[in-house]
Amino acid sequence: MIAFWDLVHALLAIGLLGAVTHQGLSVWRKPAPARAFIDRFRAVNGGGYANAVCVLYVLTFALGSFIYPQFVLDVKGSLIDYGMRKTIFLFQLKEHVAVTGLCLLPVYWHFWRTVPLTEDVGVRKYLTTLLMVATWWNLVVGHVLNNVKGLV
Amino acid sequence: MNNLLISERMISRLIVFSLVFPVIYVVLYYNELALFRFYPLVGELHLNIQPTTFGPAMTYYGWLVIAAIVGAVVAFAVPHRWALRLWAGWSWLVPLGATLFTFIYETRWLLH
Repeated sequence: MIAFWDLVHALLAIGLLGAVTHQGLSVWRKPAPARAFIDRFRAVNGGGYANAVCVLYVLTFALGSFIYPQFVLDVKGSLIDYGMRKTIFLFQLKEHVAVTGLCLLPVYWHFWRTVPLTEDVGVRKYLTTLLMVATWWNLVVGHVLNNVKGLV
Repeated sequence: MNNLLISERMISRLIVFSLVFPVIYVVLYYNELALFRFYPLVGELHLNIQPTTFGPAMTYYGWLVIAAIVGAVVAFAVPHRWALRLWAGWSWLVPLGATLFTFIYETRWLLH
């Protein structure tokens, strides 16, 4: 059953990654006709993603917290036994980065949904970029760890 | 915009919460202070440290709960006019600083 929840966690994370990457790249884009693929990818209305990003982040975080004990028992112990300290280092950071993203959400939501998009552009840009980087880091590290030793 | 759906006072509380939460989390994490510990091997929560027969202890949930409670209390305690004076840039700089701190501290896994 834990493998099922792990899969759902990964699928939610991929959905989150798509939404926050669209939004994160859109804040760095200067208004211009979107011709190339990358420009079309980021020529989106970033504000439309904020609610989805918040909901997906909370769901992904909650599910990750739910399966975390199984990771501690099945994977982390083995990593320590095998002396894979770099891998543990990566996961420890994933844990903290996930919390960073979580505590960013209220203020991130505020700057996207209650502040006019013409104001506090820089703050919105850095908040979104930070959330995007956090999401990428956690998905990549989670994927690496899952390949190190899959959950039972 | 959702200005009509959420009051300005509530918004200032959200901002304060976002600033206080990561700071409290880092303090708790650095000092290994947790409200409770979860022992996944036996599936039990305990306020005190248990013998090794209980298996590994998880402090993560204990940190999160305390950080959330303290963040909420401070968010409601800070006067609205003070919250309005906060520079908006702190909203991303403080969480980023907290993350960098954990990054530096976790390098202990690489050094020993």
